[in-house]
Amino acid sequence: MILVDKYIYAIGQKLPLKSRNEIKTELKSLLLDEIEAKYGENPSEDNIKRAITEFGTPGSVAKKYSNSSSVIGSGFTDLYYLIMKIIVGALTIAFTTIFIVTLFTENPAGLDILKALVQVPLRVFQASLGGIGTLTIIFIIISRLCSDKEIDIESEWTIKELESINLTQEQESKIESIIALILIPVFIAFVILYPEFIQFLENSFEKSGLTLGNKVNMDVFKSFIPLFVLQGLLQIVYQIMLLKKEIKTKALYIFDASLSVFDLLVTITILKLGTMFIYAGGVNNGIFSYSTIGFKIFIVIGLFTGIGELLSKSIKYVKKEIEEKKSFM
Amino acid sequence: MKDDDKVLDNLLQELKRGSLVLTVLLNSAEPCYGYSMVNNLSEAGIDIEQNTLYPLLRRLEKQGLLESSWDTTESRPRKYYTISSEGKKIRDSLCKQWKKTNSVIEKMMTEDEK
Repeated sequence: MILVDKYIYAIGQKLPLKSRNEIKTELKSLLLDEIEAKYGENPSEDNIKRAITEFGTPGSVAKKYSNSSSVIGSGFTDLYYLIMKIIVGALTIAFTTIFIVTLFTENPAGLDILKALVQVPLRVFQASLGGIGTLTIIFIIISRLCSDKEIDIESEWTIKELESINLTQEQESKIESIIALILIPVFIAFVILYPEFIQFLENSFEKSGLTLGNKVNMDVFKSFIPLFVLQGLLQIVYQIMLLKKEIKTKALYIFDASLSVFDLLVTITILKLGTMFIYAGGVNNGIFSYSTIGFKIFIVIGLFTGIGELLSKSIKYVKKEIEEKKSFM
Repeated sequence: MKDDDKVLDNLLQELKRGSLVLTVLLNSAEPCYGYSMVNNLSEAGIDIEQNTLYPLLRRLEKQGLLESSWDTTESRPRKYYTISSEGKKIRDSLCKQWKKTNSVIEKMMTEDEK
């Protein structure tokens, strides 16, 4: 019955998010009833294919379940969303690139970098509104000019198209957890036993003949070690729980999001702290000076990844909650 | 298909669509699942595509005219629909209206035959 699962999956991709899971469960039950009634308890693959073909193309079935009339023709919906994603993605890349270039060319001081960082999503949002607005108008016009039948992109759909669908279980990757469980203890041991590795790196840098303007204040860095260790230990606990459960439960979602918030707070604290570096002349721009460029990139990437990860976790969690609630209503 | 046939086909479909809700409400006094409803209606002389009926059942449920429950005791889960108390009220009102319209139309048809 894998073909039935693939077919239901294909329909699900075209259903509105609201009630998607429940409609899919119901459709599967209905389709299996039909198959059994027509071909008995042990239908052949050909029987199943015939039943699916009679049931209709995924698009036509899904369309019957989305009873709300839309201003954009259903045949254009997939294309519309695809272009919308491209617009938002391209704008995000463009504004992030502008931010990074500004960071290194204008060398903003202190918390100005955070202000510039906040500007990135705001600008992306503003520009996306314009882009998506224009796109919507174009698609509305096209939809008005073409009837639904003319834009039925599934008119030549065949059951063979189901073969390319790869049904993936929503299980979390074990490899990620295993790698994390190996690397985190190594990191913890390294930080506790040999925190001077930073000085070793600084000395190696100076041996190359280049001048290092600012150096890490080892006393301040060492005071942060318990915090780094705590971060590592919490991650280990989380990864072990994830490995045990195999799927992200509600509690694990909350735990994971809390860890991200904690990591973000630590990063912001380091960013705000003026004592992390010992300044050896030149303009004192704190952590944002040119001479700490490597560390700067590391922190900024960390901050970006942290915010991104947190957002994606929140969206995933909310989506999961909505779907769960709808399927039990 | 000729233009006349097309027009007739569209009008017949509209007529069928208009009576569909009432036929479903009249056939849901006992709990029944989607496929059994298709069969019941078919046996009663109303042919309906499953892909028309299933979304309709969901819509009627959303409107509070039908109630549903999942039966998980069998080999695979099935969703059963039954008419709700609100659905019964609406069904009775629709039946009254149907009879009224029917008698008016029959009267018109008899006069037309004369």
